[in-house]
Amino acid sequence: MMIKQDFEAAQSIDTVWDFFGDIPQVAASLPGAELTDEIGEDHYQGTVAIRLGPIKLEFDGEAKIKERNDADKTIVVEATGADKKGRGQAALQLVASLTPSPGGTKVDIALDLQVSGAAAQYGRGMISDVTSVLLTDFATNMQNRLQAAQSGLDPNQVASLKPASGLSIGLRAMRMALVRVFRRFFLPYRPRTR
Amino acid sequence: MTIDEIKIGGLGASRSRVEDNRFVRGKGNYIDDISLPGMLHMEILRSPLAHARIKSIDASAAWAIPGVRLVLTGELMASRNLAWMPTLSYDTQAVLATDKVRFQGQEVACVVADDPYIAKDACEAIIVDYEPLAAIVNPTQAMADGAPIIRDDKENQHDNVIFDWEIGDKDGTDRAFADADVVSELELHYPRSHPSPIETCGSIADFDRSTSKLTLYMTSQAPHIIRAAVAMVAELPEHMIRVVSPDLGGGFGNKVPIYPGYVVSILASILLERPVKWIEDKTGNLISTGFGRDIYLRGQLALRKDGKILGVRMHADSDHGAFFSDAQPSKFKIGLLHSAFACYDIPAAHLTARGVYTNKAPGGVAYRCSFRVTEAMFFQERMVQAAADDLGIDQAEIRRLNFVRDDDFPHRTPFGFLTDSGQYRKCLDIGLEAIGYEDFLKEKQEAKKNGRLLGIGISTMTEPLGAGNSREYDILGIKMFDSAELRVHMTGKAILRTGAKSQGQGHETTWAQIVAHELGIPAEDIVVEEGDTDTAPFGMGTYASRSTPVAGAAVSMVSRKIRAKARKIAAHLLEVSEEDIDWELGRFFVRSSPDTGVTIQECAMAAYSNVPDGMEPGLENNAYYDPPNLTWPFGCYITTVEVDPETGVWDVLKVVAVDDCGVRINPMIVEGQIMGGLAEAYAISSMQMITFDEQGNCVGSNYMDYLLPTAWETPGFELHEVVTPCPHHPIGAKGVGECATVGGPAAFVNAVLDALKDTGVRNIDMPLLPDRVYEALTEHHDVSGAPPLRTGS
Repeated sequence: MMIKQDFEAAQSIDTVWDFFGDIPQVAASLPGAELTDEIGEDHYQGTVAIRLGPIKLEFDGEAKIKERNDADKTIVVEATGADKKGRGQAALQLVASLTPSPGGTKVDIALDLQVSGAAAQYGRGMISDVTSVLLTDFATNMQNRLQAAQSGLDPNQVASLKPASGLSIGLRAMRMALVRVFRRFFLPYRPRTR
Repeated sequence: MTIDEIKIGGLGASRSRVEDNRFVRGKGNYIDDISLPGMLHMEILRSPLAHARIKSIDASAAWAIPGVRLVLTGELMASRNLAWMPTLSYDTQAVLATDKVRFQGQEVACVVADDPYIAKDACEAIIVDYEPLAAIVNPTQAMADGAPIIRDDKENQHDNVIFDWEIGDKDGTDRAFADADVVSELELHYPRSHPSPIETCGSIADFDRSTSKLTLYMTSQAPHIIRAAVAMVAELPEHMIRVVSPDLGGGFGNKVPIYPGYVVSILASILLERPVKWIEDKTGNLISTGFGRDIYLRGQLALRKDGKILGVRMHADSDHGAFFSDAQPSKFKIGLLHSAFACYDIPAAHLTARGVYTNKAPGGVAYRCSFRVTEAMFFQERMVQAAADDLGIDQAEIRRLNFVRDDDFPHRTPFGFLTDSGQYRKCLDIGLEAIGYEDFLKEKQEAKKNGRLLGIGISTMTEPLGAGNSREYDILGIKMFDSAELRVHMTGKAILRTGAKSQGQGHETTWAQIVAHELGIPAEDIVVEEGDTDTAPFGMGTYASRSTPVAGAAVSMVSRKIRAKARKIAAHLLEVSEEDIDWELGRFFVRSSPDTGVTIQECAMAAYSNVPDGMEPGLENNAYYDPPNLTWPFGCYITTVEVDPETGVWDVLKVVAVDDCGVRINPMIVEGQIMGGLAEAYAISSMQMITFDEQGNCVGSNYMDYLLPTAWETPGFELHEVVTPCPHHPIGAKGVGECATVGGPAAFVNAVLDALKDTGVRNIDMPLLPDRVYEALTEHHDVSGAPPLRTGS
């Protein structure tokens, strides 16, 4: 499943690019993610915990920077993980590309996500909603960290949004889902005959 | 003096449904409404993976949760010889997985706890170590060289093939093709759908050690079959098992099979000596219980230039999931797929079918269909339309030319069924008239000039409903007859019990109408009971539109037995000989003196107070009815649509249905059945599909992804009727519950393809989602297959 999202950062493209080069910083901006080990160059071990209503998924896995193109300002990350209790697996390829924009830098994220197991049963709609929420949080956290760094503060002292907590993610994703249901009934379809 | 049959709620009365009185008041009694003292709750841990070896299961954390009473795994089941159970199709199915999981959602472990929330939390605490294996999600992968073998638990199973089956006359068909002017071909996929009743499955097992009696409340369309199966599987004596099927919130075939949840709840109750309740959640229902269809069909028609069909060849590759647990008559491995083309006069036909295992949920059920006739009729009507297009003949004309004629009955179909009645041309003509066929064809031409795409689709079919007869139809050797038991009380009121089981069909209303028709007792004086094996006579249950053809006939027959005894009593009361009295609805009278008579109610009173010498008192009896043949209703469905060339979205303009289901017992209920069937036909053709990805993840596991139409999307329907009584049914009725679901989808698909006719597109596989239609429209090719292998060709 391909999920695309973009957002603006107020900083210059080089600052943002440097940020993406610092994997521990990137990981710290991702809600629920934690790096546990660096097992090689551009190759990390870590965990991602997502709590969604009654289900808590904790993925153990690896992330690897597959490609880093300084000229195009494009980075490709591949990650795989398995839930600790054997309830599912996830694999993803994330392509982030930066382009200058009037306000600073535009960040385009293309996330190709394969989920199996319990999480997959939530359905494509729910997974893409949850992912969108996570990416939005990521963007906010990244901004906070970049601003902190600019102001000479330690980014790690800046409170990130809490690790992917059930209530907020669940509610926000549900809001998106409900909007879709609303659209189904009231927006696109106009029956011709009754 | 004469009783007005409509007034007493007899045959033909559109009597309000008796059961609705409690349903609309919230007084229905569904499985989850039942609560027994000391009852515990069971939850199922399901496999997250489609195909994986189980390396270990660690349930220690689950046992440690306060309130957990029992954790059941495959290992424990195996120690009781219950890890596997037989299926209704002579295969075996895992109750709780021991060696491997074979589909996503398969039952791996169960927790019984003080409340369902503790049980659910405890399931989360069980750690299963899986070794993932490659998943197979369609017949092509299943039959590929070197494909992993799904059923390695079975000796002598060296591939994924379940059966190869054939029927028909191969040589005769080859000759017909040699004589053909034109051969028309078509290949299509009928996607996997799920019956998705609003109420999921569930059970409450209550084993009483002091009496050794097991009472099993469960959601079953066929409680007697369950009792027999439990007796065999759990090795409990049959007389010590009582199965009660309470009110059911829909079934559509989904509640025929035996699911692991039922079996485990029984064992749990035996082990704990307390009632154990299991209520499936919606996702559990969608990913693990009996689905419908999932079959790849290809075929050819041998045609004469004028459109006459000379022969048919068909092949089916059928995806049965991980266990072959279809609920269908034993003799027919691919159900009644060979009922295809029954309404056409075709000299020769040959069908081959292959069933395969895949890593998908098992339990192919007749989803509102009489054992794969839905696939048969869809293929037939798509094929006939393709042939008409290939030959450039009018689609109504080709049907008219090939229909079995009204005076040709009984007619032997190309695959050997015997159809017995119908007025096919008349039904088609009424349908064409109602839709305004000729005018629409002109309108379509005009619209085309303005870039608008209009289409019209026809589907006509006769289908076999009401299995048996028992010579040919059995499930696990149990013959497919049915039964009724009628007890008339002293005051002329009565109780009727049958072996069928209503899931919304309205048996409590219509069965009473049949008794009213036969005996003249007002329908409101008759109470109908079903679903309790301790009280109801043995029956095979309700599915395959068999209630009216089989159990309904038994109701007639038992009423006639009652009438025969009442006649003797009447003769005694009137002091004349039996030969001298006649019957009119509700009353016996002396032929020579019609004013002198006794009512059925007076006979009932006499049966308990004044019987002739030598006669047993009482007025009750039972009847077991074994139908001489299936019944053959006919349906003609015509729809018009407009396709938006910019988006691929299609709107339904008009739907006309002409149904001939013989004599209608309650016309209002019949119309409700047809409308429900049409709504499902629209759903299947436009949006409803259970989808899997490459890893075998079921991505149709919730109502966000498995689309059901609401009242908002569903179009309006215009209904018409023709009545050709069934020659062998006691009151001339035929089945009807499924006709529109069976015949309807082809009408919608044919209409959309008719709108696309000039683009060179011959087929788009269901569901006709806008993206598929748009792809076909813009890229001028067929869109075939199901994800993940969907391809343009």
